[in-house]
Amino acid sequence: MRLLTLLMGIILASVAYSQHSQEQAPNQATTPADSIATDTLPLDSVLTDSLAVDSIAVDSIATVSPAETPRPTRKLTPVDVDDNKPFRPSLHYYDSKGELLDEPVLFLSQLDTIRKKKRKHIYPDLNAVSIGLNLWDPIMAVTGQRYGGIDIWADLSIQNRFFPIIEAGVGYAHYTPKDGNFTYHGRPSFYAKVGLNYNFFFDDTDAYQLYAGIRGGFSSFTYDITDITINSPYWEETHLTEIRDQHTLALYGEALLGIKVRIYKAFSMGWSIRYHHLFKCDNPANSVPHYIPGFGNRNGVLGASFSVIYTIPLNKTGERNDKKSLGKK
Amino acid sequence: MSRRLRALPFLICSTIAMLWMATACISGECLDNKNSLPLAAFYSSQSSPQKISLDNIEVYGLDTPSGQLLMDSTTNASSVYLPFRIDEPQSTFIFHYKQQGLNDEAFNDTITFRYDIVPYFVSAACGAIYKYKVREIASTHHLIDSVKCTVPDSLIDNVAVENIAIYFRVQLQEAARR
Repeated sequence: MRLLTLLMGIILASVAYSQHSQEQAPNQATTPADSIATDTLPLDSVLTDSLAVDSIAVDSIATVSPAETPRPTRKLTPVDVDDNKPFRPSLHYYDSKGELLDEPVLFLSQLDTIRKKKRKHIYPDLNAVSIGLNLWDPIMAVTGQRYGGIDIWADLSIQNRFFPIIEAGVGYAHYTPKDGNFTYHGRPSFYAKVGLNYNFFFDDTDAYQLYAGIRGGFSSFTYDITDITINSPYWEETHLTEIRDQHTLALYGEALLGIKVRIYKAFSMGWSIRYHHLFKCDNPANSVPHYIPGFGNRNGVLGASFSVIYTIPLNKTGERNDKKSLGKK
Repeated sequence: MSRRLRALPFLICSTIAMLWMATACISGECLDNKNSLPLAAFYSSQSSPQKISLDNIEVYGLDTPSGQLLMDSTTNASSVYLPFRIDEPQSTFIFHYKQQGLNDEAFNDTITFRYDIVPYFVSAACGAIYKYKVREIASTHHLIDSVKCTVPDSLIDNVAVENIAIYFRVQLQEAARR
């Protein structure tokens, strides 16, 4: 069965090939030379060329009256496109540099030579210096918070994108709880933090910032617990005592998110919310510190800051960019 | 206004909400006692001490102004609070047995604790307390076999755990087998 099928296929292929061969050579003389006129001019008309019709045959076609034989349809054979020509994909034998390939290929691929355009920073490397005053704790003191501090900070604007920052301040506490038996007195103590902010609006106007940052801070502080009243109801005894000169050192870190908005000329305001974590704080012999300067309530997790800021541009280029950006708005 | 700046109102509202939740989450309660209160538990004095409950026993402090009982004979208890004195570095407690044949002051047991009083600030919620570092325990031995301080370093604070173990010479009644 397979052999029969193969045989039939061969026969059909040979027939098709023979027909194709005949069609491929239209210029060959397959018809009698004396039966077809190849152009539309009547044979008995005056020709524009120099050849006389009755004397010289310019081609192999005989001078036969057009009335006698039907005029065939003019067939045009384009040079570039031949519908009967079988498709043969063109192969590349040499690479783009003219080197002979090991084997011919259909496609020659080339690396994309177009390079990514290097982003140009809108702001210079040293763009501005900002100085801020954190007023969060003084504001919260109005609401009843009995501890806090005040700090001043400064940052450097690098391409309006990175802001290394340093903060320094003083913290204190004076806290007598309503139903407590003590007064916690944290002496004014120094604290400092260093960190980095990242501005998400770095390629926008420098009038606004939305930033995230980290801080590392430490504080060495001293506190007293006074007016301590301890009762022993069973024995009907009452003692007044105090715990003084408790000193320790704390190390902590913060992660924060904040905004800064220009209010007027070089003055801005900004706030941030901070998550802080206490890394180390050794307890003195007779107490556990309640308030840590720069950190806040020892058991607290979140803090905040609210600052008034003055910005000093470091070069004229930065200033012009600022004006341009404001002009666009 | 750029698209990013339109997110600012959302940022502000979410931040305020976070602050509010954070302040609400800060615990302001004292989870322990607001004073140091030694807790003495009762054990049998056998080789494998077992916790026991005693009845018909009265416990009170020596020379208390009010004479108030710390434990009366109507209760069946396995432990008792023994508040220490703060004016003096020692406290004495009397164990009076009301069982038939023992209901006599001659059979009373006394336990005397001698300790150092150490002021300590626990937290803003719990306040300041006295810690007691027990130096010596002395007792009579009519029914009491021994007394021990069971906390590390014999330092009693405001944490509500057993601090003292009192071992009694008792005969345990085995539970009826079913």
